[in-house]
This record gives sequence, structure tokens and C-alpha cells, in this order.
Amino acid sequence: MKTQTGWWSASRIRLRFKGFLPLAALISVAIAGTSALSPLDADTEAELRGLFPEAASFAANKGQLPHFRVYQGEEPTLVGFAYYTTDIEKLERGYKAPINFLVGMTVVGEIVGIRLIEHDEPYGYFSIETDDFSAQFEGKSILDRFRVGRDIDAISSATITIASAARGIRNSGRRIARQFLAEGGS
Amino acid sequence: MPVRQLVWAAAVILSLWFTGVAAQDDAAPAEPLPSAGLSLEDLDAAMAADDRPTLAAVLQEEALGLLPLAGFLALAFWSFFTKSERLKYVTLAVAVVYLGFAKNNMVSVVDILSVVGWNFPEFEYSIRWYVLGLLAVVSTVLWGRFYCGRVCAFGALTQLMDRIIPSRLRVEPPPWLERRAGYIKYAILAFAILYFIITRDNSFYRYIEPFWMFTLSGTPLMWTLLAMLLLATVFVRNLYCRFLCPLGAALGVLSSLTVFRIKRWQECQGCKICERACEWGAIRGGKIIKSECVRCDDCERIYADEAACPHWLLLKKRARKEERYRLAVVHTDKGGAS
Repeated sequence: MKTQTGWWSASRIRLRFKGFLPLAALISVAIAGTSALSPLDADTEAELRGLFPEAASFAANKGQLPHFRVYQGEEPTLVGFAYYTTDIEKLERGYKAPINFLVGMTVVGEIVGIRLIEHDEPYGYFSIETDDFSAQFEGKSILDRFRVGRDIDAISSATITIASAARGIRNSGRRIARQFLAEGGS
Repeated sequence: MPVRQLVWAAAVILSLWFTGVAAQDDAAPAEPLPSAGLSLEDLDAAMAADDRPTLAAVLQEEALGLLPLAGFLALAFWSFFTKSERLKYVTLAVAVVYLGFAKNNMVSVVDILSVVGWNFPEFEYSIRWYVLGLLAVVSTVLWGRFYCGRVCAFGALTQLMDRIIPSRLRVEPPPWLERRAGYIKYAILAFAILYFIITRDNSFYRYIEPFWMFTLSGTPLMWTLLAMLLLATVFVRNLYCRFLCPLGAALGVLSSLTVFRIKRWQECQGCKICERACEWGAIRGGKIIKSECVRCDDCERIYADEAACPHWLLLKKRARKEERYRLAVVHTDKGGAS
């Protein structure tokens, strides 16, 4: 048997997301225009800390590709990025609708972990909601191809869903890394 | 005989499986090593390689993976056009193993809801979805519910159950009940579409449709419902397909357009042989109810059987009578001459 969360988890995820949305909106209005790098609300910070437990601080980076920058150490150095896939790859959609993952990635493009935030996929409960699905992304490089049945486990009957999830995670990570490198980051 | 069918099914399944395995091995790419640093050149190369593929590129890559599907469909049509019972059961076994357990590739009420919401998956990434969906629609328009009777893995499973389970356990619903029960599936389809239009939620499908069973992942409630359904299917054959399936209902509606229908003899009016033989309760009196018929070939085999169908028997009888008459005439002619 595959490990899986129960049938209720989709709605739980959505509830959590709904609680988070107005807060995020409020805060982004409050800090809009003040700075490109801005502090975060407690909920988002907790989500991010789940991915980067060692981090010293996080900062939201607004702009074309909204994401979070992750700093670590006494003298804060940039160690990674975190992003919501639907913020970056807005056209990517699964069988029914876009699938939103929060992804943590190091500065060299290695995925630290992914968290499913929201989805509306009929075949999601036994595919992208499972821990097995999330776990296989840990340690993957965004240079990998993320192809279902090759370097991403195939789950029959949910191929459209998992292929879209994998593309969303891969392409948004690549775009953020590319922007960062093009700006002269290293 | 069953042994030979099993060997057949095993051979077909194995060859489909091998083609699938070959497809995967053949296309395994060289994995780039996760680099310590990340360079702009590597990233650009990776992004170019994984650009939204052209249709030609997708087809080239998917070709080997689509071969087993094409093989299965060819088998289904072969069994259909040759009206071979043995080939039909081979097709059903392959449907359960390949389309069901291996691929979980079935048209579902979820797909009807996608069409209702005009929300189609992207073609380049969903070729199998389009192949099966088109097959279901086109074959229904051409011949009737061919998809239900030969392609759908759950329908194949209940048909195989019916073949194995001793017929003395079987309960035939009386015609008045059967006719009314047949409408339940339309009610379920209507409910599903209405509920979806109002709530935009399609995740309820797994409580009205058992196709998830081939993924082997369900909640205790889902497994309980499935066990009840399969138990009831032991007594009432093809229960789900005949009375409950919303997809079958949709194809049933579509089958009013069917072009190539089953031919009937004039003698079918007063005959009950096919009606009694029909596993699907789709024949009433001389008429075939086409929204219930899944083109299982049972009646067509009877109707082509010169030793069983009254059409041929009557023809023969008439021929015999004429022959006897002719002989009698010849005889009397001779008698008169002598």
C-alpha cells in the first residue's frame, strides 16, 4: 500500500490556504512600495521555517517573479529561495486547475523540500497528496528533467496531475535561479 | 478451452508489457549531475531542452508508450469485427490487466465534467486521454456502446465475473424493474452534472464510480462501497454498467446517433431467444434497446447461427417443404406416367 493522507486532507489544505491569503494580502499592501525585500507575517514564516529550519531570516522579494530569499548565519548570507509555484508559472495547470506547491531551493538549485498548498485535482488524493510524492523531490537539482516515469515516479491514472506538478516545480525554480544568476548573483 | 484463452490472454499481456518496458528503457535520458555551482549556461541549456515540446516531438517520444494501447485497441476491434467469443474474452482479460491495473486508463464521469466545464487538459501532455475519449465518442456514434462492452476495464471485470460465477446464483430482475432501474444511471449523471455546475467540485466522483479500484488506493468507506457493489454484481450481472454508470448513461444518450446498428430479421418480432441470452437486458421483444446495448455480440452470434436462429430454421423448413413438395410432384408425375 502507498502511504497517503486521508480524503479530508484536500479540504484541510485549502482551509489553511484560505486563512493565509487575506493575511498575506494585508501585509503585502502594508509593505508595498517600501522595499523590494520586506519582512513576512508569522504564518508564512512558519511555512518557510518548515523548509529551512536553520535559517536566520527570510525576506519577501516582490517583482516579476515573487519569491522569498532565505538567509543563514551570524552575518546573514543568502542560502536559498522559496516560492509558490503558481506565483511563477501562472499558466501551468493540472487536470482541472493550477496546483500550488511551496518549494524550497538552495542557491545552487537543489530542492530542499516541497509542500502542497492547494490543489483541485480529482486524482490528487492518491498522487500529489502523498508523502512519497513530496519526498522524491528532496535533493533533486532543478537541472534534472523531472519527467514522469523517468526521474519522477509514475502514478497511473494521475499522470496529467503529477506531470503538471513536476513541471510547475521545475520551471518556476529554473526561472527564479535564472533571474538570480542573470542579476549577477553567484 | 478456458486454458487456451488464458494462454492467449497471458501472451497478449506479456507482449504489451514488454513493449512498455522497451519504451522506457529506450528513452532513458542521460541524467545531468547536480552541479556544485549553478551556471547560466547549464540553466539555459536545461530550459531549452524542456521547452514546451512540439507535437511532433511529443508523438516521437510517446510512440513506443502508445504502442501497447494501440495493440489493445486493435485486439478489441479484431474481436468485435470477427464476432469471435474467444477473442472477446481475451480482450476483456487484457482490458482488466492492462487498461485497468497497469495503466488505470479509463474514461470517467470526471471527464464528462471536464467537457461540461469546457476545461480540457493540454493535448501535448494528455495524448492517452484524448485517444480514449475520442475512441469512446466515435465508436459510440458508429456502433453503439462498444466502449462499455469491450474497452472499459470495470465492465470487462464484471463480464469476466459473470463468466466465472455459476449461473444458478444469478437473479434476473423482472422486466418492469429492469426498465425502471435502467433510468437510475441517467439520474446519477444528471445529479453529477448539476452538482458540478453548482459547486465546481468534481472530487465526489469516487463515491459514484468504482474505477479508482484499479489504483488500489481508497478510504475504508470507498472499499466498503466497492465490496457491496461487487457482491451485488455476483447476483445481478453487470449491475453497475446496466443501472448505475453515469458514463454509460452519457454514451447511452449518444448512442441514439448510432450509424451501424445490429440488423434484425423479420422473424425477430415473435422470438425470445436473443432476449433470454442478452446479458445486458437490452432486448425487449424483438427490439434492441440501443442505449442499453454494449455490442457484446451474443445476439449477433445467435442470429448468424443457422442451427439456432429461427430465421434460418424457418428458411430450412421452407426449403425442406418445397423439396418434399417437388419430390412429391415428381413422384406423382412418375406415377401418372406409369
